Amino acid sequence: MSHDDHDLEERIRANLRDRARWVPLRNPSRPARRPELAPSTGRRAGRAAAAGLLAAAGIFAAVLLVPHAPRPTTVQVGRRPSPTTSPPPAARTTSTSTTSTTAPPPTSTTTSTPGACTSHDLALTFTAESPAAGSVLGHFYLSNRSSQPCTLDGYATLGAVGPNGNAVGLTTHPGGTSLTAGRAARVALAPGQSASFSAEWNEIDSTCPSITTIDVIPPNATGALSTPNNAQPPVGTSFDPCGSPRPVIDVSPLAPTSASSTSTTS
Amino acid sequence: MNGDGGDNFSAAFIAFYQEHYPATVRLAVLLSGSNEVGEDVTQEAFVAVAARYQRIDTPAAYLRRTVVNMANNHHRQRQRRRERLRLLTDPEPAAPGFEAVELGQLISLLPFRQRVVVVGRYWAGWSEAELAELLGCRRGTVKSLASRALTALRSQIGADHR
Repeated sequence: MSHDDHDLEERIRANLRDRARWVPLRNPSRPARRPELAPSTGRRAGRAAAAGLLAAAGIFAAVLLVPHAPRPTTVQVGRRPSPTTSPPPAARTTSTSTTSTTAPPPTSTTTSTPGACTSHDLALTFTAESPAAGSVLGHFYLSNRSSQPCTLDGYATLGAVGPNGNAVGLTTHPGGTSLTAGRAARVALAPGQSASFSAEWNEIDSTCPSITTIDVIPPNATGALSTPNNAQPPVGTSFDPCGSPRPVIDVSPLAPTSASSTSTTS
Repeated sequence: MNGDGGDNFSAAFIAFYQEHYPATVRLAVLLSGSNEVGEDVTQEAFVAVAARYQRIDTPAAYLRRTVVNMANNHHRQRQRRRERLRLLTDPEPAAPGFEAVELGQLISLLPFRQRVVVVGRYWAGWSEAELAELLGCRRGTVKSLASRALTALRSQIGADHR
């Protein structure tokens, strides 16, 4: 059945995207790691050259990392706003900035277009509302605080940390509900501009551990932006279900935030 | 770790490495189903490209092909059997708090060429023609690989979820 095929294909896309996002990019930033492994999996000359390559890359990585001071995360964690001050609707934005294929070829041309925003480039702002009892709709705003343009393409991934510092397992699901629907498109962010996405989850089961921090991993980035540890629980609650299966957090694709950050449509 | 080897690499290659490393390691991990193997493959592929960097016209395409071939070699080796066992018994957590989704494991267990087609088509955005060239087969074969992969995934997911 073609509908099923389409559904499966979308799931495959989402799955690969999520997995790719979680590949640790440790080599460029931690060149010392690999060479010591050579004895067990050694490939003689190749290994030696790899070590040299890593050394070279390490120098570059160091250069790259210098401009980025410790992660500042100008995070504002909002409690759930009162009904009258609901945040601008982020999920439903239909405007798309650039036309691009859904998945950029990983190893071909990029040169002149701005690169993907890293977590260092971005600042996170968060608010949440409750569209229905037991349901939470969080709005995440990522603004480009660097001096260079960069792009956000697709879906962010969310993580959560409980009060004891343990990660709370969850699955980020692109799209999903009507509140988090939308078409993924590349969003170009000039310095100071922001993009946003929304995420929806349930909090019905009060026996679930509470969430103190939500981590946001921008598309194609590895680092996370976090809501502060010492803040109140950003949504005051938990993700449900918390046992097995894990809670599924539906997220919308990143979309441009209107410059005035006031509501445009509703 | 001194700059010994680094001096041999031109700034152009380092820029190339930087630009392509993230996508390449992701591709290699998706193809190999393992972070470790993917990193190994990526390093080896860049080393291979570095050796010929001045002489090849399209290093990005060369790199891509090298990664696919190397991932396939790893696949042929017994590595894969070990990986398969590990995936089944001890899924590698993608990151704290995040689930290594079952579908991903199923994809990792597809026969290699099917996996290349799935990853190429649904993640990398490669065309059928590109995949055919990469795999050294006809486009019709790419189609049938894709269809077999979808059928396999659908049936296995169906067994779990539907």
